[in-house]
Amino acid sequence: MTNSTNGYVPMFILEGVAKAYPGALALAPISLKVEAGERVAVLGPSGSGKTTLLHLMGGVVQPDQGSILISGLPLTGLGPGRELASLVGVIHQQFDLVPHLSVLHNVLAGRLGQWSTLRSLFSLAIPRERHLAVDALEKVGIAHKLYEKTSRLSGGEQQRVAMARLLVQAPRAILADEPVASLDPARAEDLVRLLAEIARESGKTLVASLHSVQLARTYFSRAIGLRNGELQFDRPVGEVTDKMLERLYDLRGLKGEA
Amino acid sequence: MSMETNPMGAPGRTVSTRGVPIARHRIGVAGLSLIAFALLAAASWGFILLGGDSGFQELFSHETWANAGSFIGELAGKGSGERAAFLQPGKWAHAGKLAYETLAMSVLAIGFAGVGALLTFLPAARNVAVGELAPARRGLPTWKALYFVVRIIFTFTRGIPELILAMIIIFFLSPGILPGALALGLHNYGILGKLSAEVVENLDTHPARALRASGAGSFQMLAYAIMPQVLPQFITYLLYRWEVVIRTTIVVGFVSAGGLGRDFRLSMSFFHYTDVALLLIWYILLVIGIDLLCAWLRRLVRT
Amino acid sequence: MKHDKHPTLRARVSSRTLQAAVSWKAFGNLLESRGLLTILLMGALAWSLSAIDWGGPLAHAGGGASALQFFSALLSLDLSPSFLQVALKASWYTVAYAVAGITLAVALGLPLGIIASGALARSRKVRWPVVFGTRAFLAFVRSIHELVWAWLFVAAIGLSPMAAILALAIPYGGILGRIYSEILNDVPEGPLRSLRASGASEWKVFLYGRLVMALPDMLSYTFYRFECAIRAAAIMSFVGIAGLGYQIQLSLDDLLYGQVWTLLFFLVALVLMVDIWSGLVRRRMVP
Repeated sequence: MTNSTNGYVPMFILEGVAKAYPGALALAPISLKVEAGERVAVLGPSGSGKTTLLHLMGGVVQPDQGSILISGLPLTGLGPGRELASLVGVIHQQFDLVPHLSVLHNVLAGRLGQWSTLRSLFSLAIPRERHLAVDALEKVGIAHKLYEKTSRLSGGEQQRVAMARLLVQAPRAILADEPVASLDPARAEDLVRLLAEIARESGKTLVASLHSVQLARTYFSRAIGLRNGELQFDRPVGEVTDKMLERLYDLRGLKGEA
Repeated sequence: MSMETNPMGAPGRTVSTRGVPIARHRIGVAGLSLIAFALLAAASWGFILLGGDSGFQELFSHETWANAGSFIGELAGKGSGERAAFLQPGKWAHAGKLAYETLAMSVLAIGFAGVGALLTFLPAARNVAVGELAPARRGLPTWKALYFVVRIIFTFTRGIPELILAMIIIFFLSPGILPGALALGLHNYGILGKLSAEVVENLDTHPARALRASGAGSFQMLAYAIMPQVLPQFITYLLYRWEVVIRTTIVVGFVSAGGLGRDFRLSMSFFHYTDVALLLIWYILLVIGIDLLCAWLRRLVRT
Repeated sequence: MKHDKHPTLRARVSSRTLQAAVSWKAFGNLLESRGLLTILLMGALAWSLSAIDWGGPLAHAGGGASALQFFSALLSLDLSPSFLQVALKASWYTVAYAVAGITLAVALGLPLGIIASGALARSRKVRWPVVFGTRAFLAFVRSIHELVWAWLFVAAIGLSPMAAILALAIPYGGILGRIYSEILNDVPEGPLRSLRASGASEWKVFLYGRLVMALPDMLSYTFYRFECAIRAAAIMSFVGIAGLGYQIQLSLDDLLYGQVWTLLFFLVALVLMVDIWSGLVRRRMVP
């Protein structure tokens, strides 16, 4: 299997992928293809399987059925590690940064896959490749927070640090699991716009699960609707009608609702 | 556009390429402390090793290892044959009785410490003495004075090691369990008192203040809002200190002549090493037993 | 939610105190088991009181007079320059031994603690014997008081400063090792997962994530142990090596209570200084 250039090999190919957790089917068999450079929004009510789908695509969990190919490579062959990290990067709702470290170090952590152990240790004392971090932080707009302790930043700023780390890690695809769910609407839009811009500028594939349909319509090109673990629709964003959305989010018939 | 003072890539760029100033990285208190401690460590080790007579060289000499070896051998019974202490049931029973005394000493000590701390920790909390939880009516100066007095007592009693306290107490009390228990109790009283006062100081005071606002008096506020939050933590500390005390009772017993410590000292001075070994076995059993007991009790309080 | 398994750290405990404080549920359950617990505690106290031999004289004949003499000497501290010099010198010896002991203890406790936490062991087969063995070793070593270790060391290899330092470092190493392993285990998983997803190997996840997040609490506890080490070093000097304990014994033997009080003040001052220093560092390190 060769890694041909991005334009020719789809970034993600999922075939008949399903995942079950004890007592519940989280994701019914799903097949989809995401081309390199696409910006896809995943919509759906809570518990519909959005997180599971993203975790599967990011290699965080293994599917019970079906196969996943990332840039032509089978996912099962790639354990967590350098190679997977160079293909896919994930950001979560919980930013999951190390609170005690400075922003600089948290961002540089994106390079840990490339650094030797000795260099990693050394960098904690005297940061290496600092310019990478500064450039990344400039792109997300918080370069001036370089030496601040991460825990002192606001929620929105911390999410940007997570994005900067992702930039340093430089994967081919970005998966974002409810990245802005804990932010207020204005900051949320800011961040989604930033995310979409970064993806567009660097030609990265972006798949993000969102609550806000309006954000999806504005910044993404394609929308996938999940409900009760099943694929409801998979359309270019312009073709998604209000009726489809109504059916997607309808409380009646939702798992877990009376 | 950039107003850089350093070329790109050089360490310590103070301004980003888009002209946004970056805060300078400073060595904080933690960094300074690290350096200070490193210096202290170097000075200490230097002083010890270079001061001659430190015993460092001897550590690695043949003679030392031989001595150590024969000591351990004697502990294990070499050379005593049938007179070895752990082969005599009578001695086991005797040591068991001493272990019982030691246990009693530790409980007594913790009892003194606990009761004492419970009675006096409140005025030692800043927010109770002069802060938001302070009683409104009483004269402020007396409470402030009380705060300092109690805090000083805590500092003194926890600063002086138990053994020294025991040595002082043995001056006016006859040898037995009591002086040892008093010494341990006093020392741990200071520790528990300080820890409990800190718990109160770190409390979320909203429930207490709300209670006072709805008309509760000081004592009621104490009972309903403060104590319920403090007690679980207090008990956890108490149990932890008990674990420490049981280890220290043997030591205090050297001086106060009670429990396992008394016989330990005697046996050591007569070079009856197998007796020492027997006492150590009981000691370790006691320590492990209390450790397990405390772990269980802690789970009881937690759930 | 993990419960603190070793409630010794003040900083660590404060945040957990806040958690426990607002949980009225904890108190509710305490009420139910409180009755039982109170009875147990009262019973234990009563039993221990009964173990004292109340028959014989509790105090020495003339014990009361001695006590009075001792406490009144508080008003006549020996502050003469020559004695102050003695006290200062003894204090330095005590500090030096304490520092030497605690540094050695950290050198022992840190690697053992990392191993005992099981954070690095990957294969199950290697893990259990090694981790369990280390934990058992640490438990044994710290169950014996440092003074008992000192007695044993002196009996084994004779009297010397190194004997005292080792006697201090070994049990303290055991204590530090156990606490370190608990702190390393209590670290939140989120940032670790995220680091792993960025492509870092297990070692780097450990360094950048687990160790970094555990460091403040580890440092805080080490400082506390340092404070204990000062007290322990003072006592060890009773065995005959230089230090505050030795001087206290000399003065006590000569019944020079004023000198004893001076030395006690020095001891308390040392302990207080370390306490304040540790407070300063701890405050800056909490995220």
